[in-house]
Order: sequence, then structure tokens, then C-alpha cells
Amino acid sequence: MQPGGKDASREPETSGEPQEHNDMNQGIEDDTDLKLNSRAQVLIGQRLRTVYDELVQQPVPERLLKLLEELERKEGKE
Amino acid sequence: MTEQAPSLRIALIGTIPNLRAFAMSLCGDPHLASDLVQETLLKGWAHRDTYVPGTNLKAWLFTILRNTYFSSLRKSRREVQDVDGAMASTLASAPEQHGHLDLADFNKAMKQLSPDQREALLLIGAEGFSYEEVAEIAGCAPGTIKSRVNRARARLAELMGLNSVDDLGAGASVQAVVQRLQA
Repeated sequence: MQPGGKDASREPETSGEPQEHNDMNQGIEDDTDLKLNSRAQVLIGQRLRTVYDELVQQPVPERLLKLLEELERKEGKE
Repeated sequence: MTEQAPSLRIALIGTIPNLRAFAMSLCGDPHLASDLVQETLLKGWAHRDTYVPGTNLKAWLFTILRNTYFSSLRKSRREVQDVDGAMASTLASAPEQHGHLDLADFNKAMKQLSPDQREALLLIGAEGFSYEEVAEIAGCAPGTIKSRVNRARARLAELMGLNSVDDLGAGASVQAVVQRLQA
């Protein structure tokens, strides 16, 4: 039913390592279907990080800095 | 306490860019994201006694943020979904760099994911947390996170047409594979 279900069943069960770094290598050996899929996953990963990094690089709003200063000041009075 | 407080404030400031990126990517609405971050900082400050020094402060705050988001989502599901398009329009001015895959298409596809799939993909793929860390943040098993990430990727590939070779911007090796498949 789910395309993801098929992939999940092919992935090793070990859960210790983040899969991220293995995705490129997995399936390249023998399965052409997975090879296409891993290529897509690399593109998705790149796009995700591009979008996300751009958000991370936005400046911290002054409002939040003031909020924390205020919280700290209140604590000092307590 | 007065000695510890300034460093906590500084540490919190250090997490704000990531909290904002995560909130924005998770909910897709700038105003809601802004509220989420503010509420997270307020809650984090109020419950600072429950934070164990030396553990991952960012993960602790992400837990607060996602719990706040998911409980607000349960309360007003319809309202939250109405903000469709907010993220895409916010990011519309971002520069195009990576081939012909459109940034707006990606953001649109991200919105099609279920919130828990989006959360898992963001924390693993964008924030670089481990499956165990994400499992702890989201309060479920690592296997569940893994399955959500896999489904998220498969769904994105489908939505962005990445399963079709023409849209892939395929390199020569991929083209060769496809030609072999078609032969």
C-alpha cells in the first residue's frame, strides 16, 4: 500500500545509526529500483536542508531577546 | 542561581534560530511559529528546574515546542490547516540553486505530509538528531520514527515526481539504469 512500507522492509533492522548517511549506499549494489529511489532521497535531503538552513539563518527577533532579558530580570528580583 | 541565570539565557538564545526554523517548518505559518517559539521559551524558563544540566538543551526545548504544537493541533485542527500556503509564500524569495526542482514545490509537498511525518523528517533530515533522540522527543519508539521518515521521503518523492526519470534531473548513471530497465 505505502511505498514507504516496501522500503522499510528492505532496510536493516538495526536502529542505532541514523539512516541518513547510509541511504546513498543502500540498494546501489543490486536493486535498480532502490537506486532510483536513493537518488530521489538524496535530492530530497538536499532540498530539505537548503530550505531549513535558510530558516535557521534568519536573525533572532529582538522581541525574543527582550523577553529573555525580562525573565532574567524578574528572577533577579525574586 | 543568579550565577546560573545569565548562562541559561545565553544558552536559550543560542537555540532560538533552530527553534524558529523547526516551528516554521512544522506548522507552516509564520505567526503560529512565532507564538510557538515564544511559548517554548516561556515554558522552558518556567520549568528550567526540570532540565538536567549537561543533557541536550536543544532536544529538551524541541520536545516542549512539539508538544505545544501537537496539543494545539488537537485542539484546533481545522484552524491550523487553514494556513496553507503561508510557508510557501514566505519562502518565495529564496534563491534557486538546485536544478529545476522548484523550492515552492518542495514546500508545497512538505505541507502534504502528515504532521508527525513532517516532524520526523525535519528532526532527522534537517536537524540531524538520531532516531533515538527523535523517539525521545516525540515520545514513541525509534522504529516508529524510522517508518515515519521513510513514508515522508516516499511521499515527497511521489509528490515531487521524483520517481519519474524525466523530473529527476538524472545523472548519466541513473539514465543508464533506466535504459537498462526499459530495454
